Amino acid sequence: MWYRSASFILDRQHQQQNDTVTNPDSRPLSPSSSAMATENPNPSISMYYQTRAAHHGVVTSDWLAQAQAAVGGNSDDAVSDNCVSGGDEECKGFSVVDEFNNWRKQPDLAEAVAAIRALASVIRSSQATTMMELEIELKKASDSLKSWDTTSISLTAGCDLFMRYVTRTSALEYEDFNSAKSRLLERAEKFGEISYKARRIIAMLSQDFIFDGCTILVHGFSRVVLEVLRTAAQNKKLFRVFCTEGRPDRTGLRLSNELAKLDVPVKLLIDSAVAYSMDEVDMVFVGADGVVESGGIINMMGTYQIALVAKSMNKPVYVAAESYKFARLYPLDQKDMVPALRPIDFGVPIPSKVEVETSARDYTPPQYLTLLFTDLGVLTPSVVSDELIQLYL
Amino acid sequence: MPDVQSMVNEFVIKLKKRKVEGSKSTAKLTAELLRSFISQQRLPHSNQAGALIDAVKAVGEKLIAANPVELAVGNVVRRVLHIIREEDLSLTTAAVGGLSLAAESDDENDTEQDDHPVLSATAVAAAARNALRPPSLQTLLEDIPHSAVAPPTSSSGGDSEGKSKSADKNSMTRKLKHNVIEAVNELIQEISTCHEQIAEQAVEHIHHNEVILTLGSSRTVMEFLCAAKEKKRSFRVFVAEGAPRYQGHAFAKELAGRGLQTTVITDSAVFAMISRVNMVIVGAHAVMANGGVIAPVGLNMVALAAQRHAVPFVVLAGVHKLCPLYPHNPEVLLNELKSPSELLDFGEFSDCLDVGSGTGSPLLHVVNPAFDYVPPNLVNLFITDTGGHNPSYIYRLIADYYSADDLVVRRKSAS
Amino acid sequence: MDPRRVPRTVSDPKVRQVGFFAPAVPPDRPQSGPPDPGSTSPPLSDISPSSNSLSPVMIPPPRHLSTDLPRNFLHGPPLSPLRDPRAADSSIPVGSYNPSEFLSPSASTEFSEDPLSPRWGRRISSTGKFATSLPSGGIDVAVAKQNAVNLRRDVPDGGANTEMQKEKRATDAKPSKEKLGKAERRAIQEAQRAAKAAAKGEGNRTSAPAGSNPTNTGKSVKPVPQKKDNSSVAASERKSGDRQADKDRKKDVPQPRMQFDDENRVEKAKKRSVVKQTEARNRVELFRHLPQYEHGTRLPELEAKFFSLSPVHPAVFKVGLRYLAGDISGGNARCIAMLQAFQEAIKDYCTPPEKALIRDLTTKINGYVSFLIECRPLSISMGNAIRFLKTRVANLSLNLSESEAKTSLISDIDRFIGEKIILADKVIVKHAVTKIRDGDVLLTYASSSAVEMILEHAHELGKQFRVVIVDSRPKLEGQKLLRRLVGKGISCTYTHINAVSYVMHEVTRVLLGASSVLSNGTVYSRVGTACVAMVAHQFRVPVLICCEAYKFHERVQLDSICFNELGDPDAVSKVSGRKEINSLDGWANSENLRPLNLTYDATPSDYVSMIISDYGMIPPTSVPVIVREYGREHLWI
Repeated sequence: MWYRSASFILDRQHQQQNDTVTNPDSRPLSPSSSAMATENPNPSISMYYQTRAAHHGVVTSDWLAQAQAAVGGNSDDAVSDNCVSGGDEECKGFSVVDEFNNWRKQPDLAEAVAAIRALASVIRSSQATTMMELEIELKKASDSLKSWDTTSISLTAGCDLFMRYVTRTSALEYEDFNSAKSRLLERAEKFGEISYKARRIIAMLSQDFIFDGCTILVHGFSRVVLEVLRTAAQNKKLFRVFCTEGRPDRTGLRLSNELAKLDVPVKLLIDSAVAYSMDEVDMVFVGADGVVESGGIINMMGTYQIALVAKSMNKPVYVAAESYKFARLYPLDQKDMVPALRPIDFGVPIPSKVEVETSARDYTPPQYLTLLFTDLGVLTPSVVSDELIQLYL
Repeated sequence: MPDVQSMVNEFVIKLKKRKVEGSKSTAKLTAELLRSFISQQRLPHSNQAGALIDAVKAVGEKLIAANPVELAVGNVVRRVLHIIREEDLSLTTAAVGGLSLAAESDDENDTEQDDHPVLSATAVAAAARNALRPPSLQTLLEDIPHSAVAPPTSSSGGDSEGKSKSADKNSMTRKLKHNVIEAVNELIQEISTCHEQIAEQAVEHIHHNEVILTLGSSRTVMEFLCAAKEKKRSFRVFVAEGAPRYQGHAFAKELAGRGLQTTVITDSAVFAMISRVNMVIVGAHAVMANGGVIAPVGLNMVALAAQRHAVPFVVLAGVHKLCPLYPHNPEVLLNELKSPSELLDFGEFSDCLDVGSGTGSPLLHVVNPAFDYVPPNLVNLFITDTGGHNPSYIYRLIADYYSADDLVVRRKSAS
Repeated sequence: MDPRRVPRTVSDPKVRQVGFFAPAVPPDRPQSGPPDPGSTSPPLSDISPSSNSLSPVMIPPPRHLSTDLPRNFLHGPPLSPLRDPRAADSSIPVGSYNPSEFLSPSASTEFSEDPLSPRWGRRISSTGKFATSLPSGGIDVAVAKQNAVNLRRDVPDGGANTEMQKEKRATDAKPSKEKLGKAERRAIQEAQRAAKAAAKGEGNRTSAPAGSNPTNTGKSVKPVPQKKDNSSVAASERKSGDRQADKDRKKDVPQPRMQFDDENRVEKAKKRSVVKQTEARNRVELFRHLPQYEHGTRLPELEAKFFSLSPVHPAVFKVGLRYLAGDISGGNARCIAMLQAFQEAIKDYCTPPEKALIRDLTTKINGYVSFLIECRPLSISMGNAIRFLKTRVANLSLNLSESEAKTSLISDIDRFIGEKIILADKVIVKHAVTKIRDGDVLLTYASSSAVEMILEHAHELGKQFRVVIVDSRPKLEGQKLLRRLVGKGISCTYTHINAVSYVMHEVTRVLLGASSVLSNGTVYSRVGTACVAMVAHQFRVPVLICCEAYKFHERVQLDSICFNELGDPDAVSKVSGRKEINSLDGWANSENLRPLNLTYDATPSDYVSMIISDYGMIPPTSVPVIVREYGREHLWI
């Protein structure tokens, strides 16, 4: 069922040889096929920042230095440093966080998917003998994962989803434990698979919205957005991309590099040139760290102002986000969420009296978003709450 | 079969020549055509539903291609496909549960008249429900517990039929077609009565001494206003004439004939008059999945003016106008350019038409689009046969009436 | 009305004694309140305007010479409000046109019409000063001079105004009646007046010196009430449309227009009118206050009168007929046609024996204007032009011979046309062309002469651009523009207004004309302009309004309902070239069906990015600045 419904696009494609998107390259890549360089987590930077750095290829000099220093470093060190509440699992010789970090090393694998896979392996290696025990064990594992980085929304949401997934399967109650466990495992893997495929689905869903001759503004680096643009380029669409620089991580530079490899015309903007360039732009594409209950998104700093500018100039703002980023959060304003802090390199020494805003994310309310492209389909912001309500209530 | 084919072809030609206009009549004709098509379709013993769906899709594709901007065609095709899936599922569910086959099990579908509680294994019912639902977080999580017991009935083709108990096979074969045709009949019924259902709600929205503005002509709006009038509400109506078709003239005349105080204004006076208007009530050509509206040309302007003056902009639309597509570049892709002769007299301007700019391209262009796209943020309320809805809720109605698989099909066939 | 009048009159008496100065009354008026009573005040106003130029207006006055005062006094026969109505009544049968009657009555009427106009403020204040000054004699000389100057100005303006309204007023204006009125007033008011005068005098004095506080004085004066009175009496004239002419004086507060839902006034106006008009049937409730006549009933009748109608000069008559027939449309064209007709009329004018050219000519012009108004309500630009002309007439030196005066007026008119219209257009074109870049897609709506010139000039300069012409029923003026532009080799796209959202995507600039720009930045223009500007605003396309500064006006307006012009409803029901659309034929027989043909609408200023005028490219917020700084200049070219 879920296989069918969640990835209906892909299935259609396979089954019907759908001409719109058939492309050998567009098949989902298996996790191992990734050719991206692996990165080591850097223990000394805040988790959130570290995650982003690892996934987005942040290239600050600071990071480079640390990354080099960390080469060959033992990821277990990082884990032990960071894992405050590994607790029982670790005592049993198995660390969720460890597992998670292993998964996370695959650069194309989203954090949430890594978490889901890690949790699945918790089930696998669990020695629990009853459903209840297993549940408790899972709960502990997911709590430790969540506390490993409290600022990561997709990690939290992914863990919650998985837990929901386990507790929701009421039918399991009627079976004996072993078969229940194997079913759980099976589904956990499917879930991981689907989450993994989400990006492809989103890329395909969004193709209709990219028309020839359009100009797309993207902010920062988002793997989903890159996938969308890559697919569009593979489909021979003619379009132009404006990349913001994405200070301070300069993640936009990486995106522009990737796009240039695809022969997509790219123009780099400094972050403050957004309003200036907006009248040339036909649509704004952003990724999201998390999609919240209101239908708004939490994303890299600067998204909110881009959305504001786009709204005032009547440009559509499209969000590409996998469904595991849906979180039961409801920020009312910018300060109403857990801040994710990161260091900012200004290039010159900053006097200690000068305060620096180090938040890495902002919240964009739903009225500034036009549509969300998710693996569940194209959604208006109002659907997000619907989905979350159905799932959690 | 041949006569059905010829009927299809005839209808395709009509659509192509734009002989059929108006989403309601188009929807009705399409549904009727599909009904006769289905009734004449011979079904194989196995995988009936799949075969039927494929056949309907093939026809639907043709029809949609004949007039891609008449979204009602695609809507009805999708509705019928959805009906087939639904019937198939309910049959399967019933069969699996060892129950009588009578019921449509969809507790989610408002279209179907009676929801017999399905007594069979809850798991199967849940599976059936999920099959018709678009993907959601929930369906991601819910799986069919016993795949061995209940074959994945809904999967893409409905090949479940073959796997269901052989004893039921014959009866089910007939049953499916019969049920589908019955459901399509209900669909036709629903299309033709949607006016009344919408009009019934008029009293809730129109009060005494209101001033209502509308543009062009819409049967639904007419019924709506008259229903309020019959309830002894006295109000005035401004009718913008709706150039270049000027259907507003006939519309106004009919309204006046029914005893409503009617004022005809030119389209250009909409902004001037809107400040004295309490409500804008218009019909739609199609309602898109994001709550945007494809409407007769000029309505975007009216909606903007209404927004400026905080006048509620109410769109009346039968459910058959709900289109599960998300609009991208709707002004262009979902539009249609009509003949320039509606704007300019060729005789008068024949001399201008020949003048070239030297590059060979003519100097004079005439643009006469048929539709406008009204974005969802300009719409305050949709009134459909199922009640009033926010633009942000349209996605849900669409999820109720269409199945996700067909969206893709449609996309394919539309392109 | 009477009670109200009384107070006013009471206060005024001194003034009157001095001259016609009913104006003294005006100070009271404010107190008396806007209501009807104005009857006394109107006469006063005529006279008073000159005298009244009290502090509020006074400040600007330096330009004017004090010489006017005497004149004003002389001219302005103080009419009692009572008289006016009577006069009107008596005159009604006659028709207000008689020039002889004009002077006083006309003046009064004008004032009455302009209740709110700044002039009143001035007048009142001035009158107040006079009153105070006269009794106390303590007013500053300078102030007095200024007042006098103002008075002069006011007077001519007032004359103009009065002329416009004169039809009715003329009848009322009879000098003889005035006396009675005055006597009555005085009697009644004297007691009250002492107190009031004192208070007012103070107020006036303070205000007068303060001159800089025009608004205050104006308010305190409350010219409005007086005017209303007048208007109520005489006023019901149709000026509603184009009162602006009256404003000449101190436009601060434009007069209220005639409201055609006021039966009394309409009745009176009808009696005076030259043109017999049949009220259209099935009027739209919302627009009862605007005149609407059956189309087609007037033209033949007027044509028949061509040779019999003495008070109107043939040239004016001809222009009027062409307005009626719709041959001349467009703000500039109508204005130029009117001014040229006036030139003709002035050429042929000779002062009747025992009359002063200034006053008699003003009366005449008022007669013409009211005739033109009957043919078609004046546009604001025409009102401004008329105001200019009347100012010129009123300011003619008394030393000039008749022929000299005529020559001077004719050349003034030429100058107005040349500088304010033709030259202004050239300046506008020059400015606007700088905003057109290669590759632009320019959208324009209906047909504006200024925009057309801009497009042609840009084309001549070799700029590469495309034009989108948006048109709408019923006039379809865009088709003519389309033909002309295509004939010039400009690439055009033609569409109707409903499709404006569709075409707006590709547009880079919107160029629109305007009938007038009001001082709150509202652009008053061909109906549909607001829609186009709104859609352009929505698509963030800059909207450029091309409008000569003589069309600026100090009036403000928020919607398109309160003031508008109703066109022929039949034009809505018949679609040219589409005979198959005939559902509305015979609409008049249907009780519930009423076509509405609005002519103008008001575009809110926030939709306007820029106004291009002969003073350069200005934001809409600067319109009142132009009106303030240069408004009077129009009158003094």
